[in-house]
Amino acid sequence: MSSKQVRLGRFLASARTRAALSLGVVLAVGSTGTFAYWTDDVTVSGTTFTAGTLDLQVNNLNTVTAYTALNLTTMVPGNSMAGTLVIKNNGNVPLKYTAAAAANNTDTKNLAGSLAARVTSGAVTGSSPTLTCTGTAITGSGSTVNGSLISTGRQLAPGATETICVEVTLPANAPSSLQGAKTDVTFTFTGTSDLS
Amino acid sequence: MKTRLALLLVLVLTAVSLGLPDQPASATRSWHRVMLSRDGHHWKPDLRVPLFRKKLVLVPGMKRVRTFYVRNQSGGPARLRVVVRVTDSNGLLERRTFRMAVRANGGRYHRIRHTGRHKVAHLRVTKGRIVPVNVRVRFMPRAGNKTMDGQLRFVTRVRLTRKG
Repeated sequence: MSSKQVRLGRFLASARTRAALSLGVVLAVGSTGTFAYWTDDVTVSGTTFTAGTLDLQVNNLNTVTAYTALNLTTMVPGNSMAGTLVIKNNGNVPLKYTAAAAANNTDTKNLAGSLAARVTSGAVTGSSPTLTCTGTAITGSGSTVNGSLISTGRQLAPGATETICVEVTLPANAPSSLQGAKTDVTFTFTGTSDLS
Repeated sequence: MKTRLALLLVLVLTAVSLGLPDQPASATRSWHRVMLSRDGHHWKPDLRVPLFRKKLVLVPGMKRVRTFYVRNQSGGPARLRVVVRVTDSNGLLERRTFRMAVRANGGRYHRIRHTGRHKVAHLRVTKGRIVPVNVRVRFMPRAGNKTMDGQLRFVTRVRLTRKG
């Protein structure tokens, strides 16, 4: 062993040197903690998006199966029948509704083709067989029982109701071939969510 | 012996001082470094009121955009991170009938496609800089009746980090 190696060995073995080297290790490890970060957080909360509920009802029902107000079994030219329907927005969003009528002429005499319809916001007046609706025809209402009945959407706020009156007339000039004819009419009301 | 003790003491003190948590950061915790605003003029540590109405009822075809502003008042340059957490979407996002997107600083909108945590922005902001954050929601017109009554809750978290 050379004298240089002996001196180096003594130097490394000394307590001071070892302490100094240990300090270096501590400094190296501790230096990672000197990078301080400041952070600040803010949370923006409190919003819940909810898809609305749309529910259109007629006479407080989703399906009306026994609406007989417009029935007339012995109709002759000039007679008319009328009945009211209560349209309700049972959902929690505004809606617009339209209505259509579909006739089924099982006897092929096409009574529906001769019947005239009128829809108003009024009430039923008169007596059978000449019941009529008061008021003027509402905007966008049709005139037949086999097609669009209310084509212009009518707005209803959540929970709101509207009464409409439907009047069906067999015109005085109806052909005699319609004697004994029969037609079944179905009204369909369609509600659509309203963005306006 | 005395020298060894002295060295040991120095060693221990050094280790303790280096090992302690960052004191300056905790000493200034009460100072709000992020300020928020709905209009870019009036600033508060938080928005106080929901970004949208508390319970916004949406119908198909409806679209809403809300903006809030974030200001860096940390006193220096920092990094701003915007994270959105959707906690419950009832499948609205997954079915793609409800679209939600967030962007910061006028950049590209980041689509939120599912429930969970979404990092939507991470950008450098200079001292005092104001960053607008836009939240856009759209209920797709083709959404059917099955989506009725569905709910979606979300939280936007804004974090400003500054290297000290």
